[in-house]
Amino acid sequence: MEKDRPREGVWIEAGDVSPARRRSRAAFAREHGNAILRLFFIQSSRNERTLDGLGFFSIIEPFISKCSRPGEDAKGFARRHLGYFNAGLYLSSAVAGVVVNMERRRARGEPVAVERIESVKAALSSVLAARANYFFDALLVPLGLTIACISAMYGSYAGLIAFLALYNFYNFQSRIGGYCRGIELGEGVGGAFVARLYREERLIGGCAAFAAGVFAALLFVKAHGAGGAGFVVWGAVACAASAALARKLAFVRTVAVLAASTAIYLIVGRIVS
Amino acid sequence: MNPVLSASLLAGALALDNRSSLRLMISQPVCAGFLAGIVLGNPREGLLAGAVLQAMFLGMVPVRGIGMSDLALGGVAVSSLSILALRSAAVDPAARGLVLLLSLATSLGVAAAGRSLYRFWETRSHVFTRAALGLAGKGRFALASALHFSTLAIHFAIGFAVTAAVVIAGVPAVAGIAGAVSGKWAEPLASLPVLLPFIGAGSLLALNFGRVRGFLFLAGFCTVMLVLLFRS
Repeated sequence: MEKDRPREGVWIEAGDVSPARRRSRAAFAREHGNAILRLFFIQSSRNERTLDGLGFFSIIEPFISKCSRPGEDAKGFARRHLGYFNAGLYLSSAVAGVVVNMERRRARGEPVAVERIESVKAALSSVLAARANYFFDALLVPLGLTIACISAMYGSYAGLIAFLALYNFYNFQSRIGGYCRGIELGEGVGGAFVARLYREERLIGGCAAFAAGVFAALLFVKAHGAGGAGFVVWGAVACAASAALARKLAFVRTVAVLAASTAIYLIVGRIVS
Repeated sequence: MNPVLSASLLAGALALDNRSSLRLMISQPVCAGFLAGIVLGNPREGLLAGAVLQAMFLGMVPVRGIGMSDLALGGVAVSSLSILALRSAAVDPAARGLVLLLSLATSLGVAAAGRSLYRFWETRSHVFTRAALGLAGKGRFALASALHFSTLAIHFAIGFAVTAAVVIAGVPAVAGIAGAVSGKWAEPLASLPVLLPFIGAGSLLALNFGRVRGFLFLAGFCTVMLVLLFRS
């Protein structure tokens, strides 16, 4: 199936855009612009009972009149989408797109059962959340922040700009592109789409590891320049302790303990010398 | 504009970015510090303070339900405190390291407190969903949706209030301590920005502990060393 559609992109169809398609995009933007804006605030009312249920409802709300079948209770529709929802941050937009697609087809009279919509929503939420959270939180953000910190160490703002550009390229692509793809494919957002998601995952992960190694090496170079072998040894100790403690203690506690130890080391070192 | 007001407004805006899921990442400490530096008239100092805090938390990844400290507020706090305390007449410029240490300690407290505050919010904010359900039952869908967006104001207010309190109380405290404890005690702490990022390097090492990524970490490390060796 993948070979039959070699020019298909992840978020949008690749290739030249025909004028008719461009016109349909303008109509799409008019129709869905409001929902797309709302996507960016989905977690604002997050709570431990329904998580992002109210946020999800706020995205669906502009479609209530269009998605309710004639004679059907719009209130029932609203209540269905005010329940539990947890699809993470980045691809909840795709789930919202899929649900809007299915609800609209159902409103047109196609045989789409309410139970089917609920099960697709629940299944996609967990799959897409796991995929996107790993890519963003464990790979992309550490890579970008490492680059930003390396450049900030030398007083440059370039890394900061590079981080914001790199992250937001994927962020907007996932959130806006995910919604558009969900609207376009409906429940067809599944195996092939998920498999094509974040194909550059390994590359980004490799770059993140490489950048982390560069960051560590530059720290040792700077430490040697500032305080000689003593600083290099202390840096190695702090590095090893952080790697060991990060799995045992809460992160903020690890940082506090090691920062205090470093300050004590510097003061005691001066007094002794 | 009053520096306390401008820092607090910035913190409110960054709390929105962090908590509302807008998530443009301008609330990361390195960006927050830089932005605080801009609004307080010293972007370089702001970037340095924010970068040190960021570097210490580099390997912090929110997986397996690990709670994230509120680094957005921490980033604004560390930069605001260090810039405003250094501007104070009572502080000797040689005590720069001590000012940074005290600002960092305060910002860690702010980050932890912000996390606790957010957890408390999560346990209570279901009242909004319950109210929205009631409104939806009456057919007032737009109002139910507006309830969701009203929580944005709460996130802004929390960021604003926490930062205002920390800056108002923290700047005189940091300046006072730095003024009183100067000289022999404060001078060696100037090297803190060199040593503290090792904490983040360690957690990054733990994050890249696998076979392939461990190899790439080592490759990055050795590349820098080889380049420096050939250059010298």
